[in-house]
Amino acid sequence: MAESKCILGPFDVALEEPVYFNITPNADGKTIQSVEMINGFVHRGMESIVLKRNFLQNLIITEKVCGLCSNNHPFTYCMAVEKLSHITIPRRAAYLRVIADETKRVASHLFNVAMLAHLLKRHSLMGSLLEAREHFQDIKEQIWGNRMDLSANVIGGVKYDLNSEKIAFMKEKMALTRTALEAIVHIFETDESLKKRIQGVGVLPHEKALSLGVVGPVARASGVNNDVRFCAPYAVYDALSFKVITRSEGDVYARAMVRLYEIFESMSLLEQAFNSLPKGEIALHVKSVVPKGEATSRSEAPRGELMYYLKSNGTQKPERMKWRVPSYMNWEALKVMLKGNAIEDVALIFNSIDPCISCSER
Amino acid sequence: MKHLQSNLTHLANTLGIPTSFEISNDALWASIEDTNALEEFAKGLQRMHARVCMITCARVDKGHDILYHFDIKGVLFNLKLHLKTPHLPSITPLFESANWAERELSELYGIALESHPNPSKLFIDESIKEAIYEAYVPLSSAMNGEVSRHLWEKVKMAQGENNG
Repeated sequence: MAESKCILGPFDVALEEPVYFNITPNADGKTIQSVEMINGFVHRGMESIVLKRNFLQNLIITEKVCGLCSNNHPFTYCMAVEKLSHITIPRRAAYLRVIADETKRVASHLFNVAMLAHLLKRHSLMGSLLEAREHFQDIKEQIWGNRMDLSANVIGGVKYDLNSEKIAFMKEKMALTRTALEAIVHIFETDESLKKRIQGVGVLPHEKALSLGVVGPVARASGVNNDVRFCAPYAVYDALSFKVITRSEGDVYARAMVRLYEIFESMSLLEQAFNSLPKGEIALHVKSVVPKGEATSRSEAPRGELMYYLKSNGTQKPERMKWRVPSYMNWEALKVMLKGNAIEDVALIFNSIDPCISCSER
Repeated sequence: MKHLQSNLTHLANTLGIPTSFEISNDALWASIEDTNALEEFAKGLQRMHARVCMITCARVDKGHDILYHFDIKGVLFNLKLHLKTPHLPSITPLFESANWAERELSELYGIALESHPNPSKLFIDESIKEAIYEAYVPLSSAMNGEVSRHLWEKVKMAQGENNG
């Protein structure tokens, strides 16, 4: 058979974000030999823009890097500023940051698995996943006033608070999601046709996961635990207990199961945070000038480790500010996952790394 | 972290690299002067199962500062290297996790990578030269009246350079 090339894009075939994939099939015309990516369609030069804004203005910009991780960016940025400023935020604020973050994680994971169901043409299952997610969308709308960008963080703490009524509302919604999720997990564990379709697809072996430095559920599904909440705890994660979900198969199924079980862990973290939420202030009054110095900070976003580097020269604007998002580390793994797989599985495999182009390109 | 500080000090001493490792803001920090020492030091970090989390590049007065951010068993180690000329030995042959970070700094700052397995661009079309963002004036600057004098000085300076 003559050599042929299959070009997909500029829209990501799973998530409708712009990336070009140049996929070379094997001689059989059915399986994949190699894949190359062309990015840059939504590169906004944000690392340059932030040098022209002051530290307070940059908080707003970090919220706009991405939608699904829009809480982790300001959260991690604030931690870097607070380290440079030698600020210890109130304990209550640290708990509230965790509550906002775990809420976002649940919604993000449910969305990704819902997209998997969509790609599998299991639309009833997809509907169940999105309905389960809708309870968390209601939580976000009621508590933070927005279904996507929570705008929860400020330098020195948070700008929202919870009372007993709001906590009761969140618990009520969480119970609905938990019931729905138990039924969904049961389907994923017992539906043999579903399992057969995605087990053994897009495998990332443990050794490659380690060497490529992949992060988040992609790493954990290949048996690599670099969950920042566990390995380098921040905020109040060291005071809360949770299980890091890992699997050994490294395939599309394992990545979905990691996300599903992590939702239970996130809801457990939320329960613990509600029950031990201390009284006190939610934010400190902070000056807009950050002392000279440099700092790094990390958090565990829904897609994995997010890192910020910040350098201040003592003025109101940063001298250098850089961040690396989880998807950035996971793209190269696609080359391993796709090789030898069927072309009709491309979308399933792309979706399984839960890619964020907006994040990657900044 | 102190245990890692001790191990890294031992590694640097063994390799004869003059540096010190300081703990600041929940991370370990060090800087090395000799670009040639990078590869040997990186091999030592590889043996310690380090992972490249990120690489930051910044233009400074005389050259570039490169800051490698490694994770070693949950501890963040930041290693600074000053480049006098825009040439950098790639550590991607040792750390696949450095692949995209090195390509990005090469693309945005015009730094030539030595021994990178795939030094192609990540974000900008291949037909556009490296460090294009530094050479061109963005619309936001061009339309900002406050910076017009500074802008034209930059343009005139560039013309002067082009005219020799």
